[in-house]
Amino acid sequence: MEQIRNFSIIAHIDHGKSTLADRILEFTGAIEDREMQDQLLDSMDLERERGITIKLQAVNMSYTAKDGNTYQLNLIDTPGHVDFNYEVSRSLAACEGAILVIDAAQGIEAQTLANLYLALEQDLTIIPVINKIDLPGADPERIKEQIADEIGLDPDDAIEISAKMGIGIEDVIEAVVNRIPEPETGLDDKPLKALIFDSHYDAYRGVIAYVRIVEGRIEARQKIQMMASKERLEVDEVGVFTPLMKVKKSLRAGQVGYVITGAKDINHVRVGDTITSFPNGAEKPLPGYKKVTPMVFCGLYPTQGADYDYLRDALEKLQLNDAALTFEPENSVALGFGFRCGFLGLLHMEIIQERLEREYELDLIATAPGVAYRVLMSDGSIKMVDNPTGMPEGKQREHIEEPFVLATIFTPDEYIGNVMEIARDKRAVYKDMIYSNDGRRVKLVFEIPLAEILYDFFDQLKSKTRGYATFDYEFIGYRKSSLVKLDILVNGEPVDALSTILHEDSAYYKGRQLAQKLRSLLPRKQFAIAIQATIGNKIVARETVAALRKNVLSKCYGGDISRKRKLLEKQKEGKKRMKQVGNVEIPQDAFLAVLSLDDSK
Amino acid sequence: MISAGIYIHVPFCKSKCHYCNFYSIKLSEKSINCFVERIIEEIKQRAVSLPRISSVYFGGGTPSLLSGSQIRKIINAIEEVYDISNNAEITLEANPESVSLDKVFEWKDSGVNRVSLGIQSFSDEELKMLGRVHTSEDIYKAIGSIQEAGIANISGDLICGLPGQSMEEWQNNLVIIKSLNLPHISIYPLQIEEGTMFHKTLVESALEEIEDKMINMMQESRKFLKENGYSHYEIANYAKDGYESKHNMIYWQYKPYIGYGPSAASFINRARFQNVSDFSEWADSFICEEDLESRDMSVQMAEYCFLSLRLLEIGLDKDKFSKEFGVSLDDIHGELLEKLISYGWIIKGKNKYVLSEELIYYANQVFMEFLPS
Repeated sequence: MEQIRNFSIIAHIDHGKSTLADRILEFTGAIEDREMQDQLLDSMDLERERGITIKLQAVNMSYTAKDGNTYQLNLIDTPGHVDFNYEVSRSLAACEGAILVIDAAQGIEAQTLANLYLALEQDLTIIPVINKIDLPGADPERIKEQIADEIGLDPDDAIEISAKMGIGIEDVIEAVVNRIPEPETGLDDKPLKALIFDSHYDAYRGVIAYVRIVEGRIEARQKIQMMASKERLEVDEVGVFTPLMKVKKSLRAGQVGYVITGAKDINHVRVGDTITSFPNGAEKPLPGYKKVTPMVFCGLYPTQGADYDYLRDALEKLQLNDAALTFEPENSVALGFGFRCGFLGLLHMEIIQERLEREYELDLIATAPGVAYRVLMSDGSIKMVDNPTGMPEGKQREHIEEPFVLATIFTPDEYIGNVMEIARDKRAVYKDMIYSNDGRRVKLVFEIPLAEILYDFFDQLKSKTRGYATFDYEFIGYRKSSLVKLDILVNGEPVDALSTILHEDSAYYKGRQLAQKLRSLLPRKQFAIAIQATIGNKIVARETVAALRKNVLSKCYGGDISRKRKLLEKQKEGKKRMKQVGNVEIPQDAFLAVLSLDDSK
Repeated sequence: MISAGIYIHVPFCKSKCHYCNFYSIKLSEKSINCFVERIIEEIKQRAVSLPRISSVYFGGGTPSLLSGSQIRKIINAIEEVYDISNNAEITLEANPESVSLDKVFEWKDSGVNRVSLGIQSFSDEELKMLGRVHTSEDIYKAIGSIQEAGIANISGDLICGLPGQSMEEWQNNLVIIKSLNLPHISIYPLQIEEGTMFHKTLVESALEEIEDKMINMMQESRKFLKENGYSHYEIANYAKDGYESKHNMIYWQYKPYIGYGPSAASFINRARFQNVSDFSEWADSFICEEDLESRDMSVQMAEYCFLSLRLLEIGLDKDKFSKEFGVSLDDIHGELLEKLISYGWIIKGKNKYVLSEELIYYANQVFMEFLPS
């Protein structure tokens, strides 16, 4: 029987993971040369455009190694970005080994480490690969030192390749065969235990579950049960991705493939659940994934109120293979009915928004992202608030705690001053600074309120380090902060979707800035628009959007006050009419205005 | 002390300016004589009970087409019916081309002590565009004549926001008027009124183009004139100390006035009236219609409020309001005033409210709020 090797490729963005995956698929003949598009695993348009992998996929290949044996290789793709650590760990759980790709010029980056740690947590065998050795800036020897110093792996194990030029691909595949252990054998006859590590929804076939069979076997017509949801189903079809779907009679322990049950309700087949047989199922499920907590929240509203149900539908479908996405209905005076959505991070949020707009053709208004606050109430109870509108009044609460993250920033040493400056503006607490052996790169560690990262942190970091700094963060807990709620009133009416929670020290300043910004964003009308920023009952800023010329002034001459009054009456009537048609429409930009406020005081 | 005013509408013009929609008719010698005769008759027929008169204002049209003796006759008629204060302000509106030294001497002898000169612009190009019949040269001559004849109290009108007018061109107008050292200046933004030449010929886009520029010009005027010793006492009016127009103050301070002549407006016992805007109908029987809405107390209070707020420094005074209407301003408009303060549109002073700097040129946005819904 063919031996199986299940592996992933992990890498920092742009270090060439997808190109390597393509080459491996090509080399093993899974895809015919160039007949398929480059970087096949990144099949979503969005992924291809952004050059990042978002959703994991699994491809089954057959490979005859130099030892003469034929191996079944399963390459399970992982996303590269820090937001998707959760998905990385999901796909790694289905593997025994991982290829760690490091750019021969850039060296080890924050995400390289983050992903590596996830792989080590799963006890995976690591194959370090130094990519892009053909590039002029390549310095494999320095990278090998980094591998020894910063990761603690044997630098002699590192394979030097150029995925782009096709150099060293066979060595990598041979290493997969020789170094990565085969899955535990002899488990085929045990009761079925299959881990659902991903899934997607097909309009015709229902939910397609991506599984790793850990024990037992699964085949068509078999009766199965989902151990968490208790749902009982019958298997329609099993198979593997080659990368196209290829039907198999059965999948046995150690194999990776798909299972179709015809289930249409996405809640019946949840990622992280264990499939077992029925009757005579396994007693205990596989360790499921720990439930991830969304860290970043925003409101998503359809611009067409009628699209509300369609939006819910779309969110449910996305949630099917993205357990990290949460949503619940919310209702805004300014925006109508929509959903409060929770995300792993900013990129995750952007991607969900884009997928909703592109794949589901929804026209959305997104409110400024925020975090969830822990509020200790006066009565001693704890309330989680993920929407500024829901923040209890000042006298009802004892204090507010906000989420903090441990931020790790790698930067060339000449930008330390700039990074420190950004950190200071962002209320960061400095923790540590470590120079690399060559003294050219520095790792800076801070504790930063997550909310501060949501504002223009990335942009500033990129611009002030000429794009050289990389950044990673992990949640470290809630801490008490002096926070206040800033509200925005337009013509005296609070616009709930513009409320934000801010640190006391910057709230006044930001209130003024926000009011000014809104002034430039709101459309001019026949009537003037008053913008106010308030904290509690106190007005901290006000601005006026001027009215259009037509109605600005009329001269008063010859004492004809009646005429003047009649003009005013007409104007007032006009304003009333405008009010009935929705008063002041607030453009999408306005809801994000708070994000781009300048921090420098 | 300002108490009551009289307005005389002289409806004749040599030609109609492109922006003007006041009632006016083509000049003819015969009709001017007829006008003087009939207005004297109207003053006698429509005599009302008014306190001592502190201002008489000849507006138009082009009152400077009247000779000194014609003005004298009209003032005599007024004096027969009304008690005119010794130091009453007697203003004559004048167009530069119709001013001569001899004429001003006559006017002065007839009692005129203030001339409001329709300058509008110091640029011949702009004057042509506005449809004015005078040149910049006429302006300097006119001012020279008025001053030489011994009338120091001169007001100059300027219009800003002309299509195509640049900020530099406007500033040039400001610099010149400042150099003339007139004690009173009125600045109006160009408005396109129905029935005017501009309304027919100007396209909307030409106006939008200068929309913001016009506001900037008015702001610039405020800054410049204040720096040069003028107080901005009313939205459109600037004065050197003591030269505020008494006649305009009558309007803003809710004092009574009677208007004679076609289309003239009157305000008597808090009710508003207007003469028919047709020369023959007026000359026939002095038809005067009451604006019935103005009898409504809530309308009266609204008018009081917005007229007061036009006075940028005096503002809307709480005591004066309650004296006028017998109720407190806060009881009537307390909530609205609070709202407007919170918007930053008005500012609370000692016992009064004034327009905020930002809203001066959008004052209608505040004014309309006082009107009953």
